[in-house]
Amino acid sequence: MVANLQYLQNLSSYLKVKIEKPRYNEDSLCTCIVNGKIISGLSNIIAALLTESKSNLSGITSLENAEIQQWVEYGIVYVTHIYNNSQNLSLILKELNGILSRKTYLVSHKLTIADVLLYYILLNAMVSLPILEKEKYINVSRWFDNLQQENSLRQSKSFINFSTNYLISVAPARH
Amino acid sequence: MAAGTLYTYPDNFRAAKALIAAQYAKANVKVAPNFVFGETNKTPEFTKKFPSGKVPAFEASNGKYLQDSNAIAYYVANEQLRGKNEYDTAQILQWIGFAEGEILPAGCAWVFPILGIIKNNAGAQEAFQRAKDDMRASLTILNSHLLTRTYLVGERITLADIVVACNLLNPYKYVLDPDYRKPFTNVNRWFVTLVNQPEFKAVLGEVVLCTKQAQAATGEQEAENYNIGDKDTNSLDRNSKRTSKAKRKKTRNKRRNRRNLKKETPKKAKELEPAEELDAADAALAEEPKSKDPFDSLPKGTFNVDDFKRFYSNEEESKSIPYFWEKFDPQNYSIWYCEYKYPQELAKVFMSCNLITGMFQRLDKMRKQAFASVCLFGEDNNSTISGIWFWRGQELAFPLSPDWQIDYESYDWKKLDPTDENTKKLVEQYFSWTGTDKDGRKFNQGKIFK
Ligand SMILES: N[C@@H](CCC(=O)N[C@@H](CS)C(=O)NCC(=O)O)C(=O)O
Repeated sequence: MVANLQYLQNLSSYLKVKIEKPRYNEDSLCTCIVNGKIISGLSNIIAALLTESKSNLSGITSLENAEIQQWVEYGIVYVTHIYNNSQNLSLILKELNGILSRKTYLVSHKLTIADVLLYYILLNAMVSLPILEKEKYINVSRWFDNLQQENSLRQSKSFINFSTNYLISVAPARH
Repeated sequence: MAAGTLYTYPDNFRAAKALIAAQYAKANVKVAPNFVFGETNKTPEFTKKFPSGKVPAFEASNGKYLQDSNAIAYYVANEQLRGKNEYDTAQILQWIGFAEGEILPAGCAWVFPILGIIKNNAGAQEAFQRAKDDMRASLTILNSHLLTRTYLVGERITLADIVVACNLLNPYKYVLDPDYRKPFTNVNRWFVTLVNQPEFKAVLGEVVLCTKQAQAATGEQEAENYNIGDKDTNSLDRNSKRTSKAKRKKTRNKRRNRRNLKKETPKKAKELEPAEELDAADAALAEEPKSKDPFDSLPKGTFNVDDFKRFYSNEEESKSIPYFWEKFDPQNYSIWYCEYKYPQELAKVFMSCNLITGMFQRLDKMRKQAFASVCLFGEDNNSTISGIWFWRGQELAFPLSPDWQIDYESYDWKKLDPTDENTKKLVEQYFSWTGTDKDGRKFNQGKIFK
């Protein structure tokens, strides 16, 4: 739960939009102030940050925006639980791995807030993922590696190693 | 930054490399008007500048001349496209070599007889067979490279991607049918991503992948008789289909009721001014408990929503539904049917349910004067979401509050006539979680907003 506030901080510095007084309100919803307005609920806050930032991390069509919304929801309700037990993590990685085999980004053909949010949620899991697991979820690894190249996204964190030569030599038969 | 004129005939995949690079670099590269292939490039005036007489050819505005598509693309590119260090640049050159030496010969031998660019005779037939195998070998190399990489060099789009993709453009459009390209998942993903980048689209337009391998005309038949790249049949790229679908479905924006809210804000701000030195954040916090129920501006009527909710939770539907109709106040409340607009996009049932719960959570403040039963029908990869709502007022309630904006535009909303028999049936079905959606999918799960 506390981690959700961490993801908000990550997003706020990535999007360069200040959030004030982040906390959990009496309904244990994430709550904070964005541009003088109180907003509760992680996905409401994310939407507000996006609007304020004028970034191009939204979709272009209303369909793309609906898909982004589904991923944001998926991220908040499911992916955040990967830290509760390791089974959740493998389930999520397996699912994402299938989807990312045919897609470069989660929605459309560009980076959107859906990728960014999932990047931050998955970050700690990816840091400690054993190399053989990185190989097993190769499409997630590739996607993640591509995202982390952007300095403003990676912020002060160091690169996670997806050393591809090693990955290929570990299990050449798979490819 | 390079600027100048590019000599080429229209839709030349070689010229496209330079034009796409220019899009990324925002270089001002214009295509020479009135260029006639086979004439303009044979004039002494042209061959004086460009001895080979081949196109594309580039005349920079500073008077410099350049031939060869890859050289021109390099010249009009920017730093990102040329690679961020010497090693990246060297790798880009390596891929350009691969594109010209491996992909292009195979691609031309396969595609040109079909396009009628070269004559289809016995010699071409033989080359044709070899080309299919050579192409497979090239795609296999690309495919394993792209398993662990998003783009060819340095995880960013570079000239390597532009050149390789352009050399693959005609094969993907005309001969790499879904069966042939199926094993090359990574190449397909990479190619579709590239041709959908705005910079590529500006030059190439919508690229439709081949659905059925075009065949070369034999004997007297003219190649032109063949219908290549039939646009109406299924294309591999679901996304290109989605986009056009989305274009057709224009979102309606209803902002009518928002004015009510706006009137309130300035007054509140004024009230707060004298309260000394509150910073903006504290001011917002101080205001929080006072935040008004957006429904307050609407007449209350006789219907007690809380009483109904209690009754509905405690009693069987055989009692609560008649109770609803007995107490419902059609003057001041309205009933709505909603349907999620993008059922094709609902993959997993758990993700869909989540969509409903998430929406309810975001609409929290609406609860006091609204109620809904929203149901999921069907199973994984084949489901729909629809529901019945009622709330205070006769208009769509969501524009009343800025907090309610996220979800409602993803649904189609239909106001129902409370006196209509069909409305009675729908209310009965959704309140009691029975039946099927309009295409016969079985009820799977329901969620109550109360
Ligand atoms: N390697 C050159 C090849 C250019 C080339 O072969 N152009 C053809 C048309 S696509 C041409 O201009 N042919 C005319 C001729 O050979 O006279 C490039 O990539 O620009």
